[in-house]
Amino acid sequence: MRVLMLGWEFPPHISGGLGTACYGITQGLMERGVDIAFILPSMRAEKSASGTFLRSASGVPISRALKKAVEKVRRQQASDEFSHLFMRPVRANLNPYGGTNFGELGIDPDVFNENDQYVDEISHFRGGYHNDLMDEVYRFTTAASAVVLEEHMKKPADVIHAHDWMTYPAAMTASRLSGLPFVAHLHATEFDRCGDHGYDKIYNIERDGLQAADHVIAVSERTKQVAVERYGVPPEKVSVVYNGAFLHDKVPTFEIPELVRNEKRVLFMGRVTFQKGPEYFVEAARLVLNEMPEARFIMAGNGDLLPRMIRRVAELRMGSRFHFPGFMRGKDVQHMYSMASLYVMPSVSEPFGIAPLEALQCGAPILLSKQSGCAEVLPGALTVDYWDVRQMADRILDVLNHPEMAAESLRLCQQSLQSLTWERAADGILDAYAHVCPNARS
Amino acid sequence: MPSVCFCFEVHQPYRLRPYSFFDMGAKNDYEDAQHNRDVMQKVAEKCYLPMNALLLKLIKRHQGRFRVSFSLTGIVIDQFMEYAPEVLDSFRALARTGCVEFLDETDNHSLACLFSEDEFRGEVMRHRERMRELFGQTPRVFRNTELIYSNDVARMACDMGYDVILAEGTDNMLGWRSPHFVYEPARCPGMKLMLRSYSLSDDIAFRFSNRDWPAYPLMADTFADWLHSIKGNGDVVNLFMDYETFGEHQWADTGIFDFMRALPDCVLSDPEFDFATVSEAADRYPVRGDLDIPNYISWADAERDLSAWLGNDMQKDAFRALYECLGLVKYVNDPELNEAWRKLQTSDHLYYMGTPQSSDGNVHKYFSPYRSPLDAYTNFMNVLADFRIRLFAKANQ
Repeated sequence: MRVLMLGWEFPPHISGGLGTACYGITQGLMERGVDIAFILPSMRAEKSASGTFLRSASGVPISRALKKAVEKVRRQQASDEFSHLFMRPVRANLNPYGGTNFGELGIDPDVFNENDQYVDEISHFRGGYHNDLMDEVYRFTTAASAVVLEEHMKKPADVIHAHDWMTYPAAMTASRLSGLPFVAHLHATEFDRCGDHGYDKIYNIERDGLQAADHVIAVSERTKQVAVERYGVPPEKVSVVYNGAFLHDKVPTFEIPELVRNEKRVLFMGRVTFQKGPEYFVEAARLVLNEMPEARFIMAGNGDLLPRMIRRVAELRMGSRFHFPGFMRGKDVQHMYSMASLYVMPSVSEPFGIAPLEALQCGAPILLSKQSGCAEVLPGALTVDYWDVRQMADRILDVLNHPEMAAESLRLCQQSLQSLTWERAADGILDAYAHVCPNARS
Repeated sequence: MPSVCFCFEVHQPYRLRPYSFFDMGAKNDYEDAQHNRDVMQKVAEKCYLPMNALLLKLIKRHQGRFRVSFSLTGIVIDQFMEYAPEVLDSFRALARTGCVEFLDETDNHSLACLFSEDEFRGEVMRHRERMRELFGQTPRVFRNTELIYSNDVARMACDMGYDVILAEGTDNMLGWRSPHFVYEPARCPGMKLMLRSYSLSDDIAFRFSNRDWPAYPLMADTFADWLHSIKGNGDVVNLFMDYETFGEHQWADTGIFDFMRALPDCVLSDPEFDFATVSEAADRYPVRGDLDIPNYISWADAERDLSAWLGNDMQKDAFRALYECLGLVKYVNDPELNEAWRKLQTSDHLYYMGTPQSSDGNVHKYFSPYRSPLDAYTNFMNVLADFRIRLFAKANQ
């Protein structure tokens, strides 16, 4: 089985939660013997050592024929004339890529129009997220298609698997041009990121992608629900595959200074943005501090809401009990988790959420919003509606006042954690592939 | 016979290092010692040493007719001792001329007057002690942190035996009156109030090198003419400013040293004019009226009130969290904690958190070692949290 994956993040080349998930998925699939080429907009040269299966779409020559073919696909997408594309006669003698018979592979012959093979441009991408993101998403369509076709001809592939909206347009086009089935992986939707105030343009891309996909993988039941209800995807076209946890053999231990060893610390860690619900954490902290003035709160991370959170903490006069250590990386993350008496993820909408899995491994009990996908696989976790600040405060106080209760919840969650492997996730993904390609399990 | 009264404020805070959450309970070295040393040595070289040398030369050349006053915070004196002892020597040399008066102020450059009379008095007494030790003078003049002033501050200073107190000559408070006379603080009979002539002071301190200013470039004879123009309409021109104006805020290449070198001659060219220290001027001129100032004024920002330090919630939170420790600090009375507490009180920490609406934001930014007021707040609160952890631990022992 050979999979051509399209992604926007991959560690160490730009990695947020999405990159981490992509890493886990590829590792799990490769463990199962799947051959993968993972195509990214760009890779940083100095860090290209991590796995030879990574392909950068930067620096790929794009022929005029390919460009025309992509434009044609776009036009066809616009006018909904899908059916005629794959029924064209094949001109097998026009193959600039060597011996492969692209006709047998189902590739659109227009791509190889002999008269148009000179290089029109060399693709180049910054990668990551910036003001030109939308432009890069569209240009990635052509460049990624070129890489997909090249990879497909190097060694025939079975499926195109695309992670989140940035790569959906590329996957749709590459799928048309190559004849390969397209599986869309839904890690997060615009509703998760922005509530009901997202960008229509992104929503439209997501909807078109999910509609056009031959199959959809959602990271939780909650996300599947969104795909069905808000993007109109037929439920039978969606498989739920939970993310895995990177289980550490051994979590390093951190010495806690004696002066603060018995302090009760409540941690928020993540992007300080609308989606993560930081303001509910701040308001709950005020209620907790009214009851338990010796508690300590930490909001680790950075984001557009951070200044507002700092001002609000000042306004509530709790700055000496509420700390903002900023963005954490590496060992500091585990250090922070292992110091926490409780990790709170009050996300307004969290498709899955990998952070709590890391917190659990570092021995921090977790309190999740009911709007978090990972709560589905951690039945022992404490949960609360993100908006119910009073109950959130009560739950926090429960944990701080009753360590034995917190320990039990932690034990149950850590138990569930053991079965949350990326190999299990890979099996789910292979089952999903089986819906669109018959030899997925061979 | 009007007098020109220079009074220079000398201060450098102990800036805090980036203090991480993980340091809390583990490390109690709060200061960025290297940075403080660098700043002190840079400013000593650019400002304190050359300007002290220049003043000494001017005093000698004019044989007692050029006189100035200084106010040094205890915090800057500590840093002189630690990082630039030669600066302190040069101040001693100035003191020995007999033409230089040293004023008292809050030792920590703090806002103690706002929350505890005891703490305030303790700080001022400590400063008085230092002036006696260092310069052999017992100050008669009190100048509060950043010219923070109200009837209440005057009352406390009067009570402590000071004859003269300084304040900002704000328009709001003066109305039709002129800052160029000596006043009496309300309900402090016998005490004298000297007001900063902010416009003439800021011509030197802020506008001197501003190329957009119509009077640029300002020459000493022009400025002397402006001073002379108060003749018949004033007794004294009080020019109070940061000492760092000379060589640090205004670099040497702006010509600020040449300006000061030439100024005494230009001023004294009118025989009716002379220079005086603050208490000399106060002694010489009669009180022309009393001023009732119930609300706090200061020399900071356009508002000229407390908003530079207590203008937003971050500042108010930090201020409250700091000063609610007072009782326990006294109770525990641990030398190490006392010393840390002393330095945390320095008003600059609150000033860095300021978010003024007007262009004063740039002034805050110029002085701040932080990227933003938010950083200043979160870092200070981390340090303060550690201080409080140690304080509570000691108190509970």
